[in-house]
Amino acid sequence: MQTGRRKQKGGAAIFIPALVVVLFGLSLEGVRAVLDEAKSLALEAATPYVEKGFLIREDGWGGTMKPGDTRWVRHQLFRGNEYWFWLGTSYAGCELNLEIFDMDGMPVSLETFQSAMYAGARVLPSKTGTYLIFVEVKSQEAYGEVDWSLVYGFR
Amino acid sequence: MVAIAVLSLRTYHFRGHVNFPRRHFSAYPAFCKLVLLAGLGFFAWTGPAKAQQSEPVSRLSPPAVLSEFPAGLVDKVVIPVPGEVFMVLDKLGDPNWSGEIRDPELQLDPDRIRLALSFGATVAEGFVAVQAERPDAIEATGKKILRLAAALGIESAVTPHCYSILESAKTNDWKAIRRELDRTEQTVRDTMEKLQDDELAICVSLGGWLRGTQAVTSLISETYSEDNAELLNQPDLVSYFEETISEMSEDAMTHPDVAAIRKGLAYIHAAMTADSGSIAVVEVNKIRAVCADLLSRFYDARLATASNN
Repeated sequence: MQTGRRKQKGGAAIFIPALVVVLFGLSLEGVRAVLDEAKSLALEAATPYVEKGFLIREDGWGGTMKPGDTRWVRHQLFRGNEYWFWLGTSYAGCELNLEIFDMDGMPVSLETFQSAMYAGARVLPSKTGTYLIFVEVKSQEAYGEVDWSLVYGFR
Repeated sequence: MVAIAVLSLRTYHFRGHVNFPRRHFSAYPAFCKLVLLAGLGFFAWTGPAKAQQSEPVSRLSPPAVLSEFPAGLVDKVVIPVPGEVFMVLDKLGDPNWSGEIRDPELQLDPDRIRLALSFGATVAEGFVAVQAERPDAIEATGKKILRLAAALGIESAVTPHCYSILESAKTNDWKAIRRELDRTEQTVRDTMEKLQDDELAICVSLGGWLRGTQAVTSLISETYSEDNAELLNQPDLVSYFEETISEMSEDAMTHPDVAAIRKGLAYIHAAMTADSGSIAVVEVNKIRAVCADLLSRFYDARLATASNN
């Protein structure tokens, strides 16, 4: 089921005022609500994996960024576990990129997927240690900023 | 083109561990960013929902100095739950989880920092009880979590999780209990952050990490192997805790338990990075002793005695 924001494919006229309200309205609850929607989408992407035995973490990362900007997240992974990371945004028409790198800069994702509002990447760490997760949200729409949320699960 | 990109980026090869500065969001040199994006675009994302191989298609080596990082480095660090580490130990052998269960008398100290540390350790205890598949220990832990939450004034946020834990314990639904323990800790940290008690939220994480690490090191010591000990390769996480404590208010930083933890973390960090490759058994024992000593301050006084044996 799609939310209002998700239905606004190309609806910048409606969306931009809403974004202004969120960003400049100084309403922390409003910001939280937007970020929660991105997280909800990331968790939606994770749902099928729960049945496969993945335990989805409650904690995660998120925020807003300009389309085309990128973020790096550092995270401790343990060899022996299998991980999936899921990235979500509540902004329609975005292209999401998600990739995992080891600390030598090698891409380590075994599998990735991308769809309209979320992306995923799977990794089986060859070593226990810190890994870097690359997050990118691109859009052809004239969005000022877009929200993003990254969650993960393991088994 | 590939060769040029690789050669260009080799300049930024990593050397050893990285100490992550917490507030670096500087831009990377433009040409590197272009090369990086071109590399990613060319090799990595060839279409939607397409499975990819992990071939070393390009050396996107992060720079040695993260202030030169190609994009915003997200400040937030997510602390792994104890269950994440415990699960690996289970895959590597048959650890005696029941032997790791502690049932300390609850100290409902009016000191909120001590309560938060104890809260984190108690949630981690729940993860130990789940690994041991001991409903009695889970029930005891659930009740302690409730009492600690009440003492912290966040009972209403935590009560639904506790009831869920207690209900799941009746049906031995271990997966549901793991999920609820994670939710419990997250709810508490979120509630504390909303109340602008960020320092208490960190203390919850610290207490949980120390208890989890103490249990893991205890089990690794019993049946040492390099594979098991590799689980302790967490120096960046320890650095994060050290840096977070260094940014606390004077009152919190000079709290006797927090000051002791800060000192202990320095020892733990040194033990984790003492050898270039694997973590030796002597270092595992050092980490275990430090964790036990710290936990004896706010969680279980008997742990200090145990670590000396």
